[in-house]
Amino acid sequence: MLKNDLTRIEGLRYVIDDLDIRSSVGRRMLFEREWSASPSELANRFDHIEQLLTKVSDPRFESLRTKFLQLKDISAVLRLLGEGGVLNDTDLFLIKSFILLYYDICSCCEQMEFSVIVRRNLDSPLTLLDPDGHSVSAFRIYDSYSEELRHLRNELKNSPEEKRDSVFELISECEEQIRCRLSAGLKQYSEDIYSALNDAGYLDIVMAQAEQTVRLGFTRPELADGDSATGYWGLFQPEVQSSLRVRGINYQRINVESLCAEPTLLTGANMGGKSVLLQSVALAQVMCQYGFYVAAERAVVALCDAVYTISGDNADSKGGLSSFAAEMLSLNQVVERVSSGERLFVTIDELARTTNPIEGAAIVGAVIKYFSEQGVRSVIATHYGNVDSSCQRLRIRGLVCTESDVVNAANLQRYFDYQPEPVTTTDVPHEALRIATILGVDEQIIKNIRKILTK
Amino acid sequence: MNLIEEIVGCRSISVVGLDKNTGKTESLNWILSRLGELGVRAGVTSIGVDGECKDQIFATHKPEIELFEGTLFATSESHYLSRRLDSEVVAMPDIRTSMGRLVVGNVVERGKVILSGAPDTASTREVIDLMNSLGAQTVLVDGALGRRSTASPAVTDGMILATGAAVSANLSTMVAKTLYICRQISLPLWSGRVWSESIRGARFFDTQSECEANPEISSTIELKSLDKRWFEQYDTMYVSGAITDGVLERVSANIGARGFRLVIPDFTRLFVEQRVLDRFESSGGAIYVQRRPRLLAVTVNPTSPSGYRIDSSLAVDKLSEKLECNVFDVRTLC
Repeated sequence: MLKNDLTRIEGLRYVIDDLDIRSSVGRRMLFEREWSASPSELANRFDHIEQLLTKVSDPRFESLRTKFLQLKDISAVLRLLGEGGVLNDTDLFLIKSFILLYYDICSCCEQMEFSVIVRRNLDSPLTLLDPDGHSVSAFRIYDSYSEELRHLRNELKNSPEEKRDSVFELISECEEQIRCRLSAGLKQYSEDIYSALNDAGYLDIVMAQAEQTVRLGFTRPELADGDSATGYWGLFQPEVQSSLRVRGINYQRINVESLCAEPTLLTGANMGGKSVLLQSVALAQVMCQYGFYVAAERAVVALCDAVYTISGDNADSKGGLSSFAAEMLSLNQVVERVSSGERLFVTIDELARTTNPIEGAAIVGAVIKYFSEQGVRSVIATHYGNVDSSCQRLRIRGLVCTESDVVNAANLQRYFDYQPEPVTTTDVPHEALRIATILGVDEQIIKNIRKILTK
Repeated sequence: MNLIEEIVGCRSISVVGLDKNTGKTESLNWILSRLGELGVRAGVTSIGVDGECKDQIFATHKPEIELFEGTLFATSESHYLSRRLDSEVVAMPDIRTSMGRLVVGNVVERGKVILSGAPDTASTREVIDLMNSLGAQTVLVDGALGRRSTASPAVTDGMILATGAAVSANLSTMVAKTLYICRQISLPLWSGRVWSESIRGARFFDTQSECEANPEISSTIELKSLDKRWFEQYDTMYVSGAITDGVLERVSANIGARGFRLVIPDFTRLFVEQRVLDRFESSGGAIYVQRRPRLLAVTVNPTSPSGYRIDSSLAVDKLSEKLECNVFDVRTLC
């Protein structure tokens, strides 16, 4: 469920929070949305978003979205109705008010010619709640429901003060009988009304997604089957892009091509954007399979059953586990699921970095071998050089500056090229010393590092 | 302009009692009848629960709120469902009270209802605006002072104060207490920088340099231990919480030669004795409010629930001497 993935997938919460869903029904439905690996279901969702993209700038678009602010989540009332409960005046008002709003929303859709939802016929329950045909969003137990009631109310008008209470009692009893009758009569429509409620919530979501897609520049993912390669062109991580923009720093979008059903080893200097790359590909996969357009200029996504992101940040300090232990346990979960035949997409950020380099490199090599054999589509970032494995390798280009460039901690990011490129060598860039110097680490320490390296 | 004309000119009026049993409900019912006669559509709601059939402590007969056809009213769901009048539900805004969701109804046939309104100031304002937009020309808010309710009645355009023997059996004391509240209601309106009511703690401000500073306190009690220099460097302070004697006395002690201005959301935040306020003002201090309802009238209920009576015409005279607004005996309204 999407709400469970909000904490697991970096950057997902930002995208969801950024979505301006207007109704609580819509919000609830989005949080309860299930992961989908069905190309037809996803294509259907994407088609709905696509339909609305050109209408986002139409002023009627926003005025329709405003109507969702009035949409109340009446699912509890409908459940009560479906179970045969007797509704009171406020419940009946809410249902009537919903049907009128729903019809209004459908009319707006028809005017703007989009067919994301199709109007359901709720005339029968509406007539029950609106016997006089006023079509006004108000409700009471109308005289028209019962001649006896009409008669009693007339009597009340002409009653002397002392008699009023007893007449009122009779009226109350009569009204209650009508409520029972009404509730029994409405019960058969509770499912239809519930479906209409869900339709309205869904439309709210799709309109919000369309608006977001246009504003943030997302693209419709092309779906590919599990054996094909996933690829992204102009990929970005929306949350990171936004925070860089605020600081006036340019965000370099990257291309990550041919992520096949096998492991890809990712190397690159510190601060080279490895983590952001891993976040971006994981986020794009997740967004796609929850029915969102993705943060890229072009995307081809091979569907999977689940995404796993393993990084040192997942250290379960409360559970008393070290980051290494947490990593190993997560890896175990991955292995279990792979063994049971699931198709996963896995990203691992600096696998086994918190242990000694010799064993660390061996662990990385072993994991790559396993993923290779099992055909697990994955991206594993590492600093370890000489990892013994034959798999696809990508290296982030890294620091690109000339002798005359004055590079310091403040402008360092401007001289970085974050684009990964395929490499065949097994060694890793040795730019730590250079970067440490730029960052202004103490001269003495730098000297010592150099000394040790040249030994 | 007579009282009813003034009332009709306001989008909202609060009727507040200085104490319970001051005849507030009678005033409300009188206003509603007059508005009904004029064909002015009214809305009614309350802050706190009122219109209870029997007074909880004194068990004396308490008048219920009687509403006429076409009147809009806002009350909690449980009170709406136990209403004794014929009405239709017209709106259910997203406001929760301790007795269920808020319901706005329209009276179809006259009858009685218990009003229990929105739980806080912002929601009360929302309800007033909603009823105005649904067609109520004037919204009456049934409120009370003396109870530290979480919603302030001072959000309305106009205010009617109900006082009487229930406040004090001694006429002079009753007059003095009433005049003191009127003095607070009439505190000058602040026209400078606006502070949001949601600000916690206090903000210091200097009107000349327009510098603002946050002393980082979480409650008004902490104001008592602030360094004197704050009051020397700045000439104004905004506080959103309750101002008690201790707090005001401390501020008085620190006022420098330039004087000092205290800005509060409205007069209902003041819980200070008259002598403390006097001392504050004579030390060079001044209190300003960010919103102020116009005091339209003061009503006097000469009977107290314990059966005591005060001289009504004397009370009205003494109050009229000092007040610009209408003052009258509430029984003349019935």
